[in-house]
Amino acid sequence: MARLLKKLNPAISQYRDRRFNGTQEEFDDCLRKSTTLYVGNLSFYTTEEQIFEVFSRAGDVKRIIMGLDKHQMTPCGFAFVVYYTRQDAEDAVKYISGTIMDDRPVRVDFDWGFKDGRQYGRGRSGGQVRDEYRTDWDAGRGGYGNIVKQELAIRQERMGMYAEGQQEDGQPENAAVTS
Amino acid sequence: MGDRSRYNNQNGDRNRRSSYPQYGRQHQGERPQSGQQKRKREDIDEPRDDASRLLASVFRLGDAKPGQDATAKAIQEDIDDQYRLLRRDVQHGRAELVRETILDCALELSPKTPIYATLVGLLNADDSSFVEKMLEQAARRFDQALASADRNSPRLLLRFFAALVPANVLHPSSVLNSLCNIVDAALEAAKAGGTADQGRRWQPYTDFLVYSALMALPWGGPDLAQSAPAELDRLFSKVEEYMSVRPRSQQSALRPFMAAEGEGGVPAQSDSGGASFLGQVWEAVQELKAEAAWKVESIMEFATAFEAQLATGQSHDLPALQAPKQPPIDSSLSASEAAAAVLEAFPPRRIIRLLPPEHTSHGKPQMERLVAEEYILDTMTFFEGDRVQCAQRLARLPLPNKHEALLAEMLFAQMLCVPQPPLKPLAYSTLMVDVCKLMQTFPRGMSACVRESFARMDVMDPLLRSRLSRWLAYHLSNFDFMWPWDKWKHVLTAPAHDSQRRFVIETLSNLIRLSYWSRIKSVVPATFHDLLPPAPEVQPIPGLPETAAAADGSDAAADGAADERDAPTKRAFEMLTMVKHKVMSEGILAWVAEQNLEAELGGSQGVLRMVLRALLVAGAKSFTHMITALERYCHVLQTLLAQTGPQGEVAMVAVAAEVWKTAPQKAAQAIDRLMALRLVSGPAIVNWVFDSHGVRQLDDELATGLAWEVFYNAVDKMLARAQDAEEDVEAAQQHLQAAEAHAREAADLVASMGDSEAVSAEYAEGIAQNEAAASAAVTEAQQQVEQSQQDKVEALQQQREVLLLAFTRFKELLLKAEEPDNEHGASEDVTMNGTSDGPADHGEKGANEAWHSFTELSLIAFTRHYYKAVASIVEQVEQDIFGKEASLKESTMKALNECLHI
Repeated sequence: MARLLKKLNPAISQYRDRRFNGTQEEFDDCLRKSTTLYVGNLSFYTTEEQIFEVFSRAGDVKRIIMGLDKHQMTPCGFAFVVYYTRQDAEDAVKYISGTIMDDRPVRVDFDWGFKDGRQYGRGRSGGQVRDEYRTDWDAGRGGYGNIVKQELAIRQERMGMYAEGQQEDGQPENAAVTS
Repeated sequence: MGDRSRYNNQNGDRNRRSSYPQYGRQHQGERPQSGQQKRKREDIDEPRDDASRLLASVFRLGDAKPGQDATAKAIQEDIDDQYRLLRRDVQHGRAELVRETILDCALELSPKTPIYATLVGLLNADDSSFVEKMLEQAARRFDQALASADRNSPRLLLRFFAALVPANVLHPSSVLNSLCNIVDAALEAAKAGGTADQGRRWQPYTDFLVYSALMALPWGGPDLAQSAPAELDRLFSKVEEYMSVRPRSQQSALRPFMAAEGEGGVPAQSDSGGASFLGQVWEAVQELKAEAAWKVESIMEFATAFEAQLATGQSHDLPALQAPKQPPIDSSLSASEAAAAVLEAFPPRRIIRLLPPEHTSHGKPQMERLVAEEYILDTMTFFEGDRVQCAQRLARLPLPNKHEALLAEMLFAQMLCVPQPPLKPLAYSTLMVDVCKLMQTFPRGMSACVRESFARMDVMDPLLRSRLSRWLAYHLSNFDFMWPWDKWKHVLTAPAHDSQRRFVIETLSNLIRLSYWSRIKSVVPATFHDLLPPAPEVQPIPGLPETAAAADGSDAAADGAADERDAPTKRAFEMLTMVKHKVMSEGILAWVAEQNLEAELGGSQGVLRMVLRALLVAGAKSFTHMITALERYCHVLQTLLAQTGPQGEVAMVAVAAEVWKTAPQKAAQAIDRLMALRLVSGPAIVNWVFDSHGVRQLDDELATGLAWEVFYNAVDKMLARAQDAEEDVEAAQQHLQAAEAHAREAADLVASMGDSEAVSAEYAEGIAQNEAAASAAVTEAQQQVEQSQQDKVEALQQQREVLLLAFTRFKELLLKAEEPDNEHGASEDVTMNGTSDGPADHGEKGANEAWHSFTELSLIAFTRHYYKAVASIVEQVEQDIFGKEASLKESTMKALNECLHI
């Protein structure tokens, strides 16, 4: 119906999954038919039920697949939502993307289809790649990014050792320093 | 789009909504032009093609530049620049593209129609044949749009034609003549029309025609009236005649509020704007003529600034437009189905007057408000696909007065429209969130709409109440859950059946579903904690008392002395342990037989209850866990169901509701999944709903909310299945056509080869095989078509059954309450309260009245919400169900009847 919008925004998604096996055109074609959505920027604590509550407002939800940290098997901040119909999936992208869910703005985008294995984070530490490099503090996603976190841990350890060196008996001064 | 990918399910979870087997992706027809617009990095420097460059610049015409206001002067300069650019494009062989682009923009960017009309006027002064072709194109679009029941383009084209009059492009008389023709078509249909009920077959369409013609006039401005007064008078007299012969002038069946509440009667009288809307337009047009000399401030005016230039152009006659006398509706439909289809194609306007007019109309002529409404609705229609832009455009509509309050009222009216909102309610929820961030005082108008609706909660359509509650919860979840709860503190002391109190509880429950219990508890004032539903948790299956806790669950039966659990609980706990140890379906069934559980638990239904309870608790952790548990043990449930029959299905629904009684979302999910797995049928769910406490009493809002939620989910699913089946038939037919075409080609090849002897035997054989395969594919495709048609018939039959059952149960429920010796809503209540002569205390009487009114409203809400599906069973509902001797109160029947003939 809206001829202008279609002409103005012909692109289906800005994101390209590098693990997709095929050409850009095949990828776009997949996205145009898919009833699967990728949902990003979730808090690690958001439950399937909360996701269901919002996404079922766009249509009948068939499945929800939580993204998991591949080492710890805990939610790592993304999910796939699968609908029965294309129309419902399109509506979810239109209406939900960019809105607040569980106090965070979520990203909703078409996905080319869930395959086993895609539920795991692809970052080195097990979670999503973005949580490796993030330098901000994000309480909903485990605090700092993993690289920053490691650096902080090293610094803290060093700090602890300094503190130990200041003690004559070599024992930690108190728990606050090391915790 | 015809997407079939939902059938490509992997994990054996077929048959959620549709019973049709897999096939399909391979014959999608050609895909939409992908790859035309590549996004690869290397393409960025490539010059964009003419079409997108043109579109981008015409689209932005008249918009404010970043950091500036769009003053009249700036827009004029913009028009002038654009005109010069386009003139070059026209001269360089891109005339066709320019015409298309201007037409698209003039229609879909509706507040800017006068800007585009002026632009066309300037081009007309240069090259009148360019514009002549554009007018022909536009007239063709008009015809096509009417033929395809497009309700936007014809109206917007008429508006554009009217706007071309001040731009000196069209002769006023030719525009008015076309408008007359269109009203004529409506008038003739109305004269030939017949009774009000027969009128349903065309009136929404003819009202639409007259509205489109009338609503175009303001864009023509004073020019129309001054230059062609005779034609205008003719148009007016035709409209007047139409208004006097059309069968309906308002529709109480479209009222969101069923009665006046207190002194504020206005919202109660607004029907979502069916037939009544045209009356408003007609009034506003007359007022505009009489009092405002056709000047509308809300319509931008640019023609005078370019007057001299425009005057050099040559005016054209608009090709004479005609409208078909009948709407483009499938003629094979029955009378009531056709009426429903026309209503769907030309739906009500969607208006509810909630706010005081001084905030929405600013004391201006009515036409100002109507024009502003048009801008809002058009923007919603064309920018629905891009929420961010839609919100921005709505916030910055070029209107002379503040429009926050009007926008709030319009968005509410759309969301709370009867019989159906144009978009999913979620669309309005997220749009309002965005608008709140862009318009500082919008939240005030929005909150005022909530206040007015809340004040009328007693008489509000129950479906709309739930929609409002779900919206409010969602909205608050986007803004840190801030809400002035104290304004509602009077409900704290209200009785349980009080509609406002129930609304607050429902909203709190929705908030918990979107967030989590402790969070909501922390954001709601402590005084409201009494209304906060309990934390949503599964009803656990207790294990052995601690003395035996050390023993492994599997040999638990050992010590029964301290164990006070009943037999089903004990067995459910054993079963839970087995599930945890991954015992498969066969193992469970063997255990049931071995232990002779049927005898122990009171028959196969008892076993079924116990098993489902254990499964739901086993899968309590999440939505996915629940699905997995039910799918893994689907065989057990099926086997037990084969023994219990339909009663077992009802029992399963009851178990789900019981296990999750503090978590309606989980209960509804579980019941929905049982239905999707075809373990529980639609009728079984309906039967459970109408026997449930929540429907028979209003003292437990969680139970009432759950029952109705489950009811609507089930009916929706039945409708979705029928819809899926219909789409499957279409897909199968397309598949067949493709197969037939392929077979013909193969046969032709064989035939052509027969004549020549120069081909090798090998090749000939290959071709023959190919032909055989192709004709086999045709046979297979034919079978698929037949199968899918059969499935469709079945799905439609089941849909009708479930709707009829719902009507029957509604009637029984209401009849029971009307029986003179049983004034109480439900019999259980009577036995508990004993003495009949005792002071039928005020509270109880109030509770009964509240229940009765709510249940009646629910029947009305149900009838009109599903008007399209109900249209195919209207006769049965009227004759077989409500036509029999014992029937409902006259007032109820009257309201019901109106909804059946909506």
